[in-house]
Amino acid sequence: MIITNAKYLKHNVTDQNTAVQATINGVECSVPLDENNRHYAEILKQVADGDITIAEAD
Amino acid sequence: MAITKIVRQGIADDAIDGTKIADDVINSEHIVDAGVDSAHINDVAASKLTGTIASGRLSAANLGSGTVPTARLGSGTANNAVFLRGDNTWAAAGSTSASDLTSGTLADARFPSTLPAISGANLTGIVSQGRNLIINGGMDVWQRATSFALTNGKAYTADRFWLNPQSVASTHSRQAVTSPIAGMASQYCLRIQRNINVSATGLIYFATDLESTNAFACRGRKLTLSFYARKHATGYTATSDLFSLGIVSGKGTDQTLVNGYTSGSYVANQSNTLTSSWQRFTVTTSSVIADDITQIGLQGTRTSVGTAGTNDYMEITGIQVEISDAATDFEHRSYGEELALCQRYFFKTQPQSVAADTWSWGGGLTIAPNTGNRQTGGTFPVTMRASATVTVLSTDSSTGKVYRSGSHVAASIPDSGENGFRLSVSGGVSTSADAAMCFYADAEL
Repeated sequence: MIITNAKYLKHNVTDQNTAVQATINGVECSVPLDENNRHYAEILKQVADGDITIAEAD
Repeated sequence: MAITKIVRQGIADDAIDGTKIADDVINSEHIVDAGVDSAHINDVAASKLTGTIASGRLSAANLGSGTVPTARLGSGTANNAVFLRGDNTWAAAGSTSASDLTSGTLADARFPSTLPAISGANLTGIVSQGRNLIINGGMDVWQRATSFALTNGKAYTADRFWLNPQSVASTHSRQAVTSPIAGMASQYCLRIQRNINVSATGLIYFATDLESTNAFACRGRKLTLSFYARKHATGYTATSDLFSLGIVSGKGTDQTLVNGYTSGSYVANQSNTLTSSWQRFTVTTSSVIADDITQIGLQGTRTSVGTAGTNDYMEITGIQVEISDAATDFEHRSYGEELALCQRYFFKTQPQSVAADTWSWGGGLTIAPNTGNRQTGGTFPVTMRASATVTVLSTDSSTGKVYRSGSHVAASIPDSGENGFRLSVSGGVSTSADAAMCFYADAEL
């Protein structure tokens, strides 16, 4: 799974990170912060492996 | 001179007139075997027939006519309500036990028109709906697309099924089943094909993962896998025309076989020799599923040899895993039922005839004209397995964007759950134009 341009998204009310916006295999998508979500699990793995970083939310 | 002895040879044939022999003068012991021929036995009075006829003297075969009196057959009184029992007794017929019916078929007329009520608890082993644990085993639903060009890595193809070629340029596609499959009226199958002129011979993995929630029902029971498969008559290059497929168990939670299951192992596996005709293959676990198993999946592999020609493919459909020690008929679900089951894992708003990565407004979202930062939300038709990854597409099929006032502007999804999501359009929507988008959601394993 090729993941690029990962960036957190914040909830406008709680101001908490709620998702990661990323390009996965060439497709831009929003990934919820749910470890049961296979894309988020892969993002966490690649972060732990030092392959990617997640930019802070705007 | 008195005659004291006359020997047999001294009596000429017919020399003695029977009327000259007084009653009881000759005892039976003085008649040797065959000493009196039947021509000289005439009109023997019944009173002279006494004693017991020795064994062999009277064969039943010589009873050529007449009726043996019932008193000679058994004790008791013979009539039309009794039968002759093996102990020579005329006895009343008893009731027949159902367990005595060991062959033949009961006629329909022997059943009452209304069957008696039976407790559902007594109905065991009934072939019921919902027995196929595999979703989309008939290859009916293809939400993402109907053809996939892959070389490396796991990718979902037909809903719920993924392929993972090991550096093998390959194409995996939906194919119409043009020749009837005995016992399985399938519309589509999955074709697993190595591309023409490809000489790479890495494995191509084929698999589906059940979510853990659905694995618990398998504990303590045997599972049977069945499927239909065939190959191209001459083009399939796998060693000995084999394709292996088996059931894998594990102890993790919602894991995928591409990474392996925790304590994963095959509980049933079989190498199947394909031919150009559809065959059904079955394999049953050798023992029951252990009580600590939390994951069940299917994994198959095809090998390749040499360089692929134009038809290096095999096809598969009718995949079923059931809690049983034998395969039953493939369970057909309606397309709507199968689609709803698939939508727990993947959902798109486009029509089913349009690939998920292609724009089509089949029921996507719009935002009415307004100004400023604008938000909207979408709801999934069924609760998804986990919080879903959501991809929005604008009218040019670009992702992460929506169409607004003649251009494609960035959109983000800060919230996504199992039942829906919230979308925010950067810069808002003008007062003169709507915004439009379609989307798909992915909660696969």
